[in-house]
Amino acid sequence: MKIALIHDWLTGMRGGEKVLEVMCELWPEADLYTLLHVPGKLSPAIENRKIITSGIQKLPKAVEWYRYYLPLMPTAIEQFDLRGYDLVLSTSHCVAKGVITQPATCHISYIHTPMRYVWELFEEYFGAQRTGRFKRLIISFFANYLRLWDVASANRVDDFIANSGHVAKRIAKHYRRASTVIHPPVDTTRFSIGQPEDFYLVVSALAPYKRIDLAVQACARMRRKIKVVGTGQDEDLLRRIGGEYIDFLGWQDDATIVQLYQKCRAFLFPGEEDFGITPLEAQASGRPVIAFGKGGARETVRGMHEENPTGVFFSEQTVDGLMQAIATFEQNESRFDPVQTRAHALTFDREVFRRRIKEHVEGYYATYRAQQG
Amino acid sequence: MKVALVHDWLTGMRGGERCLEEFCELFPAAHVYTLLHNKGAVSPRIEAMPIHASFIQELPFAARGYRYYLPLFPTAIEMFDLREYDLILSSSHCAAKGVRCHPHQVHISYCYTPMRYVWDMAHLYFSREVFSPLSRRLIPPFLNGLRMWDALSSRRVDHFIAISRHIARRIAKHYRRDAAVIYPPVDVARFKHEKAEDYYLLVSSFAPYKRIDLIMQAFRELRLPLRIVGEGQEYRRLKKYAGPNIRFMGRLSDEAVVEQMARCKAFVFAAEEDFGIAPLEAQAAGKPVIAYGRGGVGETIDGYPMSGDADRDRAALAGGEYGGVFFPRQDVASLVAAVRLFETTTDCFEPAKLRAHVALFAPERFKREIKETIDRLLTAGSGGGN
Repeated sequence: MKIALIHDWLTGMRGGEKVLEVMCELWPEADLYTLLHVPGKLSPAIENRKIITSGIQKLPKAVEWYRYYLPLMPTAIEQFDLRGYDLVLSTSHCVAKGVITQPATCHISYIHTPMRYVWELFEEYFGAQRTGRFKRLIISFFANYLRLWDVASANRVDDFIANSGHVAKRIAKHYRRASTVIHPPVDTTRFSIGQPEDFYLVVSALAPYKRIDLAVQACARMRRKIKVVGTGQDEDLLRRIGGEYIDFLGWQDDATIVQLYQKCRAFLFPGEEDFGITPLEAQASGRPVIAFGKGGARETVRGMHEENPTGVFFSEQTVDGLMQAIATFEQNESRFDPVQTRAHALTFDREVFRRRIKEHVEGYYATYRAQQG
Repeated sequence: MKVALVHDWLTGMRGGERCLEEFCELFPAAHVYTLLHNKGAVSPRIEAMPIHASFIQELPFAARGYRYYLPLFPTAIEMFDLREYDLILSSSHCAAKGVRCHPHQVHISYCYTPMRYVWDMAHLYFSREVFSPLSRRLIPPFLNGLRMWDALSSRRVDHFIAISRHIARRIAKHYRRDAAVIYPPVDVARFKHEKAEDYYLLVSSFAPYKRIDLIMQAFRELRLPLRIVGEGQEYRRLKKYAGPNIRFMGRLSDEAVVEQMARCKAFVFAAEEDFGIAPLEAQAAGKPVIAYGRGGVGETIDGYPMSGDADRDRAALAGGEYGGVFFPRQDVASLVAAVRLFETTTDCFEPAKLRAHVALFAPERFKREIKETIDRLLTAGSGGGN
């Protein structure tokens, strides 16, 4: 069986590339197609194969500027010649799902998210506060085209897999298609239970929609210590509002982050994410999570009303909402059992993902072949 | 019931226009809408209908260069005002299926293929061999737009009828829609059978996907006589490679084709075809077909799929049940093996049996099936699936 893997771009190892890595291990013979590849930035399991790139790779300063080439990406992904493959597996947060396949080829797409910067997060990315009027007007026309293409090209996928129930709903909303939920892999073996200390923790890119400002303000007003790992455009703003209770750690290596997870009192997650791997990493370290009760966190964290809770949700995405949740957490701190919390995280382990994705892909492929007659 | 027939363009009589001819027979009071009509280019039966052409007709050099206006076809087809009709029957391989209809109308589309040069055959059409590097950069953005339009406008069709199961699968893949299957008409009655002379025959247009290059290479290797009838974009390029055993006949009249068919040893065909009329015509002349066993040909010809084991293949063919030989891979070696197998089993094919098989594809059958299906779909109304 000839298999092609399609991935938007290969510029670093993030959550999406962890999914791809497992697929690369499962199907070592598969070829890999991507818009842009920066060699050496990915794990050997991904790079040890034939990697085919698109016209985007040849554009000026593509490695730095590739995001600006977004309006060209739909056309670029359509140029891949996938004749002769029996199975095409795309992992898509942008355009990868829009490849053209033959009727005889089965195309399964693992969706991290439908292009969120043209759908739900358009305002967060290009809202009036951050983008000038003229630029916003230009961007709006491109976004219009991308929305049309995103929906039209959803037609090219035979079978959708969503990375969470939240994303499954968005696929239903934007594409009007059903999907199967398979949560992405978490490498739980890297984490273990330790001795907690007295600080709250944030590990996140400091992008506006992550709402780290809520965590910083809530801690400042409650006079609780908070450590923030990560970099991004909001760093200066957060420093200003955080005052003396905030400890900015910037970028940290994996080993340090593992220790911080073990030692934190609880992990704060105030944004709405499609899935959210960090809350599971905190839970794999036995630590509870205080999270905004929308999006992927609802699927990865067990709330207070459940048996063996692993976290607390807040329903209003405001400083007060988060403060209340922190108070609730502190009053009920004894209910959170590190062993139970870690056990819950283990149900999202890499091996679980590996088994489920293999089963699903093989099962659907057999069905597709049977339909072809 | 007022009927509109929508057909992509009327510039010559090919398979699609033969179907349109039957539609005109079925609905003699219908009006024909088309992007472009070169007067006199189609049969008198079609020319006798009231024909409405789009603005493409008015554009410079449209009569011959209309293909370059492809990016304008979606808009042109959407400009037709079809308010007064009850039934819209589009006969579409390009844009015809995208006409605007009203909720009270029923739109049935007889689909030759979804625009194949923008979907799974794009790489065959816009290959390095045919297009310059500059064109190959300029074309993709247009294809990107056409793909969106093609997929979105497929929703305007209430019921799809595909010309083969192969096309039904393409409709399912690109449009996510079900389709009934009705094979197009083949005028089998005009063919006759005569004693075979020593040549193989191919009748085909010279389009890249026909893989005439592959057939020529195979026959150079085999050193067996081959005649190729037809013309098209690759004619000049390929003619240069014709060896002494390969004869280019150019375009022939219908009568001359009948004569060539009648006396050939076998008909050779390497394309993955949407339907494939020529192989059926060869069968109507009682001639076996050596073909790539995929696409429409795989459905319509009762070919023997080669196993690769020569003894087993010969034994299977000796039973005289088959209409030809299917080679499994679209490459020279596979075709060479098929012709060699055929050379040792030439007497295993029964002309009368082949002719009886293709009688099923005669125009009467097409007209009957179309009529029955349209009657059934009209009762089902618009807005539903098939």
